[in-house]
Amino acid sequence: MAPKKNSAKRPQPSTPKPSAPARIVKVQSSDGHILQADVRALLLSSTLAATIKGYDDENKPLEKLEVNNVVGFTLKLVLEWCEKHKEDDPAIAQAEKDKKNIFIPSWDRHFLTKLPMGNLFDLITAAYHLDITGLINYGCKTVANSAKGKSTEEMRELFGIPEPWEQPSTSTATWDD
Amino acid sequence: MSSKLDEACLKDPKIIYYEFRSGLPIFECYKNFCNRMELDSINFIEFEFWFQRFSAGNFDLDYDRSKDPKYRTITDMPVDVFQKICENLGEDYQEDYRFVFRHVCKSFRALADSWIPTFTEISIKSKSDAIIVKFDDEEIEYTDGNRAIKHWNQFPAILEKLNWALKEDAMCSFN
Repeated sequence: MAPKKNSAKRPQPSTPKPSAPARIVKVQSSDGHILQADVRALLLSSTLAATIKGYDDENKPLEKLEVNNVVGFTLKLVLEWCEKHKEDDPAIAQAEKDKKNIFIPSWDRHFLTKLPMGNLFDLITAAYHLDITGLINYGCKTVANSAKGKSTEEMRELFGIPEPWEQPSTSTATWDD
Repeated sequence: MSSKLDEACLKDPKIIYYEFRSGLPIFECYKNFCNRMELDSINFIEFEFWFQRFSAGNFDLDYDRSKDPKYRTITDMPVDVFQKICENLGEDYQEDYRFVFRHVCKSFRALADSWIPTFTEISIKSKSDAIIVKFDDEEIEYTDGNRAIKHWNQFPAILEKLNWALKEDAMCSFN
């Protein structure tokens, strides 16, 4: 069966609205790096959006957000991705939340495929912790594209997994069970 | 610079550059690289690291990777993410990759074993030189005797794990 193309059904980006003045906040990584980001970009993360809303609801000044489970190098990548997508219609991410056949726009394809696999895994995991749907989707699709059609041995090579006889055994799982 | 890469570059310093200039997907470049060098002393992760640096226009070969933080692997990913990656392998990912995944490593096997099979009929045929297992229309032929026998012995346990009622006459045929 031919793969279904989802591009036709993909929601189109809404017409850009006149931009409001950027509200910049500091974001601190787990290893102490302090970066700056536009709040609109940070709202792509459901986790950070909830924190920001908490500050706004209490009328507390938001000076610095701490992201305790993401290191500086990866956080910089996350913020770069969010900055690029801050004008996106939230309906796009929502519509693609559970889609299995995802279309990766060209900017995102270039952004993600230039990363070594280890950095890509860090980025996807950060997106997972921060709940950034679009980045999780595109990241997972990028990894899947690399693995598509690979044999067992090629999968091990691609993902840096040792050969079976080099893999540590555990008391609960063996190759013979 | 990594001593392994150093060793490879000493044989032909331009070879990695040639590979990434070829415009081929990175994994194909890695395969070509291994064939050209007639060695597999550099694993893909290491090759990829240097390849991506070159691709970004960074040709500093003196970079010391030993101080880099330990990189995350696919088996360190949250299970939800791992599953989502699999779902992006294609519409029939469970049928296409179940048996590939079961032999990669224990994490991959555990994930593949969590996929509920959708086939409704299994048949097993034994020939003099092979054992053929058929899941609906999907046929797998085991020609490696040891491996086939090993799997054959596992079969009742696998079916039991899957909560299948083993009805000899309806589900298994022995020719």
